[in-house]
Amino acid sequence: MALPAIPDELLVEILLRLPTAADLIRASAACVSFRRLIAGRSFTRRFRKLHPPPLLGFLDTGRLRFHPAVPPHPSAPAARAVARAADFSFDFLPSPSPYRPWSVQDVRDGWVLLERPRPRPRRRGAGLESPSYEMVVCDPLHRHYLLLPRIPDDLAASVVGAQGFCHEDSCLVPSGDDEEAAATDEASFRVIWMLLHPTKPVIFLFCSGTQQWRIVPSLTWSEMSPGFELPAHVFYRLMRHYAHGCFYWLSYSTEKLFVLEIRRMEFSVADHPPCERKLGEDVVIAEADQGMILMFVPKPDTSPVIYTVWRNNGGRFTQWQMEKPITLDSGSGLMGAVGRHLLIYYCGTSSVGRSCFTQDVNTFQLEWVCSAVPKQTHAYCNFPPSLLSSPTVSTGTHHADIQRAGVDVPVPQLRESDSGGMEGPVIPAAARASNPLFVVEAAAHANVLRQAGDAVRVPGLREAGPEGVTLCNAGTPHADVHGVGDDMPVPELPEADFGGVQGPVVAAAARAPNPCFDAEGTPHGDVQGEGDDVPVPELQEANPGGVQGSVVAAAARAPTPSFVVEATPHADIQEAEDIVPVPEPREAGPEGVILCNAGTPQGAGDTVLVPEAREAGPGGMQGPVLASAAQAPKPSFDNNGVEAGRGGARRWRWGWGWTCGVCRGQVAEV
Amino acid sequence: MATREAGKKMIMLKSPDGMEFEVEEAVAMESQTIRKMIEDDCADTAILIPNINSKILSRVIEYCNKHVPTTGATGAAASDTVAPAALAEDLKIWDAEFIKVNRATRFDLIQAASYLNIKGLLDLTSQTTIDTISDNSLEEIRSFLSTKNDYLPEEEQTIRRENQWAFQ
Repeated sequence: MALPAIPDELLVEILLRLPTAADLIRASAACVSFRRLIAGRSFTRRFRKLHPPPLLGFLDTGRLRFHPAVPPHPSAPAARAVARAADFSFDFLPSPSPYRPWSVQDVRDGWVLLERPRPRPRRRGAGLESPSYEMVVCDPLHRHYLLLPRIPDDLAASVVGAQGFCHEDSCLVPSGDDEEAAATDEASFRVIWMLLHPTKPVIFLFCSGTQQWRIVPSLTWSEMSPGFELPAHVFYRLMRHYAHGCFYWLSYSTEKLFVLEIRRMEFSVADHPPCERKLGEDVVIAEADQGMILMFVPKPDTSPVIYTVWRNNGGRFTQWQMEKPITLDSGSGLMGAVGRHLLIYYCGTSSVGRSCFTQDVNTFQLEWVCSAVPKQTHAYCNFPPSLLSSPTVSTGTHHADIQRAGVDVPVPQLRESDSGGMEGPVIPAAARASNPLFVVEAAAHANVLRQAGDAVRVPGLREAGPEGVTLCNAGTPHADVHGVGDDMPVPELPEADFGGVQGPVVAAAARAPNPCFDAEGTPHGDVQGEGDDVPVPELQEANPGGVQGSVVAAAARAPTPSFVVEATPHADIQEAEDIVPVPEPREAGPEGVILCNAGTPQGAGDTVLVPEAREAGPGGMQGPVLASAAQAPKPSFDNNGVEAGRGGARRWRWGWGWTCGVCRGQVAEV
Repeated sequence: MATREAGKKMIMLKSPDGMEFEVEEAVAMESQTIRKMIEDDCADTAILIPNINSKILSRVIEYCNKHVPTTGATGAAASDTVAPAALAEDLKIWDAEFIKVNRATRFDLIQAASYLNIKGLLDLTSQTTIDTISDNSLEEIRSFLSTKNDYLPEEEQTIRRENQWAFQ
């Protein structure tokens, strides 16, 4: 029927009400203008506000593993996509150190806050330690991170002369309706660093928007609650909860709750429900309707556990009202809550087996999430890799002004970079785009054929927002870039598909002396030794021109050898016969290869050097490092004579140092 | 109409096709757009509602009449005797009946609700559309939202490939 086209503003109203991100993605496939609407910043912001990100699974913070929701959970497809695309081992974080490992402190809205001790603790006694831990906030899905700066000494010193013992906690602040949050967007986050001092709580707030710490004024304990004194042992197992715009800290050693209302950043002290608590048993706080909160307190010495349930009106504490207690099945217990969903574990003996469930406190609907019960865990809620989850802490650039290859492009603002860091001229990428609003984020060189000049499939495009392009992902050569405003010659571009954008990473790769992008990642966890059968992972159709990775070995026996791989560990390839640690494989995601290891922040105006060759860790990826070497004035490494195209026999070191001889001599045949 | 009981201020709404609708101020103020005009004293005599024909406007007024807080047009007597929950239920049924219109009318209503800024009506009309969409294939969505697939085959393929999980 030939109805007139629906005006955009009406489409927006309609599309905003689509219930899930998956519906949105499908709708965006309807036509170009839908996609443009949906990918717009204001749309995604409104959508995220209307629809909280779904629970996708659990992050085992002890073993750094992700347990995605599995069917029949409604989030299962999205969770699976995240599990494939994200790096929950956090290998992309800077300067890894076995002596100072990062540990997960908080997880919220796709962001993860990690901490580790600072390398050289500063002298105590002169004011506050400005966080005594090094803090980093990262997005494992896109492998972006931001190292939080120290709190300026004067700011710290102005607050408290650090007298006596104090307890600290740090966490990510949920985005709220307040002005500060409204002024920012989904790509921003806030972090609280809280100290409980004998006289008062001290709260520092970090905003990614300003990249600065500020202090939140607070009353003293006695002003908040006359007669209240902070018990010396308040710090014993101080547990943090969040519900309806408030953080709650509970301890075993006080009958008080500490409440932080995040909209106004107001700290207060409230009463615990009048009930006994058992040491070592954690309460859970969940969101009920109408801004109410429910607290579930385990009754001491009951088996199966009985929880007394208390209702309160949240921020405005008056009286706790007792509700009907709940009894969980034997072998299960509460491990937390996300919004109105209780997280329930089950370790019983019934046929269900070990599992995690969620239960809606309003409807009592129970949903099975997955069959893992990690000991230390955080619920992971986020939008799956899609239009909706493109948070980036990087600064980006617009490329609409690029018209063709060979034009000079002003270098965008540079960011800090670690020793291996590179800024990538994704910029020239736009040169061939039919629509210059679309730029390439990361070049998918899994698609690069065996030699320069081969056709290259263009990786996915996404709309460039003001911060759209994540340069660090694109890692490429530009030893000649020295600061903001420098002109940079656009590298020669290879052939691109119709309408496509061609990232210079690809270009560079194509020109690399050693275009051996067939040395790729593979699942090898199951390979034990020579001659083993390798279970073939799930296969995906190879793109035309897709490169066969080291799956090659496995693929030789696979029913179908069409497995697409991504990252490539060539930094440490020195010559044929070298042993190459195989990286962790991922399925090619929308972003193509994420070369996060490569890109990192430092500061506008810094000189960016071509990095030295680094060892790729087992999980590491060093895609364009290789490429960059090719273009660097002084290639620090050149992969001497690895001739991938010819398929010289290579040995591959599998997961535990075994050598797989199966692939010898077979590389070329696949 | 002018003989309504005293104390209820009436507002005249005019559609572009020349029809005039006299409604209680409270009913008209269900529309945030009109409310603002009234509060800004821009509504002395009659308010012209552009782009909304009389047919749609009369339906919008019908909706507002029903949804104006209960002391209003639905009759004070009824609301005293009926429990709020039952009233809400009744309203839901009424809404479901109200929205049983053809597609063109529904989009006209969305447009009117959007222009007049009537949140309830916007929610109702858009949500009904969403319910229609979510049960249908991409082709049906296109036809329903009167758009054509203008992706190049490669582009569509890319979207599908990159978001495979959403198409399962």
